[in-house]
Amino acid sequence: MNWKFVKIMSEISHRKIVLFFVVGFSLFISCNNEHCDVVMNTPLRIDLYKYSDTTQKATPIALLLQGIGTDSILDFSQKSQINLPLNKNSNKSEYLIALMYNGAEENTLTFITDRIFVNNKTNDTLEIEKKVGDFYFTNGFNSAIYLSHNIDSVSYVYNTPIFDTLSITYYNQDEFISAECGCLSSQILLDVEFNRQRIGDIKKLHTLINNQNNEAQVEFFLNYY
Amino acid sequence: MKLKLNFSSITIKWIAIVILLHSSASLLAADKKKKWEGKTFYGVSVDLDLFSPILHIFNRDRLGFNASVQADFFHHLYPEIVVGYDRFDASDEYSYSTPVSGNLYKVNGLYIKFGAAYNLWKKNPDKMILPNAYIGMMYAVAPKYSYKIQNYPIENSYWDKDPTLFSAEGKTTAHWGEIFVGLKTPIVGGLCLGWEVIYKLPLYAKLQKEDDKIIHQSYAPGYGDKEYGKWGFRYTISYFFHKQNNK
Repeated sequence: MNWKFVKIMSEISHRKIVLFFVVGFSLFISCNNEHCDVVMNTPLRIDLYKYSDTTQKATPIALLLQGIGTDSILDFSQKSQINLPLNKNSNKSEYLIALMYNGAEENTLTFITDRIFVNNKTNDTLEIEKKVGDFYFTNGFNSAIYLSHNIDSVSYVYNTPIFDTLSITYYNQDEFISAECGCLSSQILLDVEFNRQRIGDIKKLHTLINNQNNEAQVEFFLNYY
Repeated sequence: MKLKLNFSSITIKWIAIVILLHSSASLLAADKKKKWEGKTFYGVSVDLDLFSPILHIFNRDRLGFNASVQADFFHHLYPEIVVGYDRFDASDEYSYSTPVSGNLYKVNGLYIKFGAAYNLWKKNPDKMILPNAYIGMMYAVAPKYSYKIQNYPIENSYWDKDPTLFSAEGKTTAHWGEIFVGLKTPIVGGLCLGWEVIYKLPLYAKLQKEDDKIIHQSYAPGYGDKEYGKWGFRYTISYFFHKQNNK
């Protein structure tokens, strides 16, 4: 083994060692990648199935949820999996839920202006408060109607969805991941239920809700599907 | 550092390294096979690392010191103890979302390393002090070092405009192994200069659990950043204490 290189490095010139020190030093202070590569979301994942055939996934015509105490409506229409954000400041999250299905009660309305219409069944004049997809709200979440199709330029057929309340209870566990990523909150799922039992059946698969599990923790088997 | 690593891959790495070291030692100069005619014990070197304190000038978030004592047996084997102190402030590294004013993550504490180096350079039994090129291994531990985490946001934007803030502080322990190569050469009398390049292998980091909180540490004194601290460097000034001067 030729030790000449080692001899030169150790005996002749400490300037070379200093140069190595400077180069290596600059590498050590520059190589610090401050970047979070970890998934930090921990939603409750729910797969949707048909009640009539529990092996078949369901993609509802229209499905809305709104957290009780929030203004934001989550639209999961045409989706077979829903991801619900759970409240990290509480051990319980409740959602108002509206589900559209084929064969829902049908009525007609006539628009007077862009935002005001007359319910042809009750003759009530109503103002649109909010629109989410084809859902129109006139007085809070439980007033939602689903515009199905138009009859003419001002008259429409609408359906009344099923309404229910979804209650989810759990324990929160806060976790410091790293300096770059910070913290997230995982949950241990305790119970999931529909208050009025109108939407369908529920099956719990897993209790741990964290950022490392992409599989659904819960399955819904939707009535009327 | 993760609590539970791929232990089998680390075991394989260490076994391979030990085999490599043994093979390297067996390929040395022929004089190794002769009976050693020199002393058993030549003296003790006290080393002071210059790299860590100088690094603080360029990176104010990190402050560290370490020193070591190394014995010279047969000019072959150099058992060593390193003691050091590190302090990290990683508060500015948060990048996941908009940081809350006052977020803080600090780690500080002592660490200690035990190990030995093997001199690969030609040995002159008649000289008290020699330049040497060496390879070595260390076992390192940072026992009960302190951490403080303050005001890290937990995203809850659907339910609450203001995020929940996470805080925790306490003590924890980390263990790791090191392989290093280096050079050391006498300059004047017993005064020496040297440098080392170190590769670190994490072994164990205690996962902290407090109430409903779990804490994974990003830093350990002596190791550095768990993701990017695998490589280390020392630039040392040392003095070799021995009974006689060099001839």
